Amino acid sequence: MYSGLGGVTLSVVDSDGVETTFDDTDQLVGKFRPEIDWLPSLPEAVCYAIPHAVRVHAVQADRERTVECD
Amino acid sequence: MRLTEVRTDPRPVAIARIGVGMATILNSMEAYDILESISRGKVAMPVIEGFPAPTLPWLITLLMLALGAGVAVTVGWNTDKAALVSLMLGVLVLLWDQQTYSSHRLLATLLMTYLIFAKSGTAWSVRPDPGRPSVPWWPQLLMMSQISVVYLFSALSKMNVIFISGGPLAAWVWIELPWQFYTVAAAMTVFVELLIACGLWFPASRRIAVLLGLGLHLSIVTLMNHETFALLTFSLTCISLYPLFLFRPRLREARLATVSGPERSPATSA
Repeated sequence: MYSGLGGVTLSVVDSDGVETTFDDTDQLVGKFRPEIDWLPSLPEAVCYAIPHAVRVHAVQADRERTVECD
Repeated sequence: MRLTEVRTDPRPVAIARIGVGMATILNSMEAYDILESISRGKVAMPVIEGFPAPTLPWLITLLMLALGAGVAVTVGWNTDKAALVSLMLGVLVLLWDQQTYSSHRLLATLLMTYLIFAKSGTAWSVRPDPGRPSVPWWPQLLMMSQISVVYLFSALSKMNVIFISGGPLAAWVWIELPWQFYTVAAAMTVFVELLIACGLWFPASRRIAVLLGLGLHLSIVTLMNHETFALLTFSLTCISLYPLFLFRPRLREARLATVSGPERSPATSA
């Protein structure tokens, strides 16, 4: 009774160029379900949640997406 | 005799009604929790683009309606109408946001669809029908097929090296044991789910299948280290359908009754 795309790995680069892993996804979503394609929306949400983030890199299954934060 | 003409004892489906109704109440509370967090600003993932975002007044209305319909189904008050309302609200919840999807919510919604036609309020309800008349069996057959498919797909989806290694199982349970235990437990899980999916259908094996099912669901609820609420709801849904298998009508006798005449009741149980 399990299937889906799998979990998402998120990494954040801050204004000092330091890269950290973002693990607090549950604070951003209602339900972190592995069936959902999170790449189109979750990186922007991380940008919004972390004011000093410059870049967010998200990986889900064999796909990835990088977003430059405003 | 056609399958749509077979009628049976109304009590087993009353148990299914109570279980699915209670599961619907719990599902409604879980869905409200998810949608309420989205209304507070968490990431929305609408199924249909342009669908209105959830807002608190609408969510409270939805919750009250869903709880009311769930309670009505559980106690058997205007069951068919309450099941229809529950179904519509269940579909709305599933369409409102992708995050409300879960296999147990979809299962309960499908079962609620069949309950609309099952006359499940005939027995053990606040308004039981006098004389406890028989009810159509075909909606029950659909419910039985549905749950059997759930177990079968569950077993088939686990037939891969990753699951059989025991790694995922070790991560899902709170108990710490040697890795060999998880490998054996993973293989046993697949075997038991296959046995339940098939064994429920045959008189010779259905009692064993039910016992294995009870053990499987008890272990799921007590050993898994997360999603206990959802797993409890799922187990409640599944277990409440077991009486449909234990007391299903004997089709051969139903056919004979049709040939012999109406004085022989087709509503016999094995």
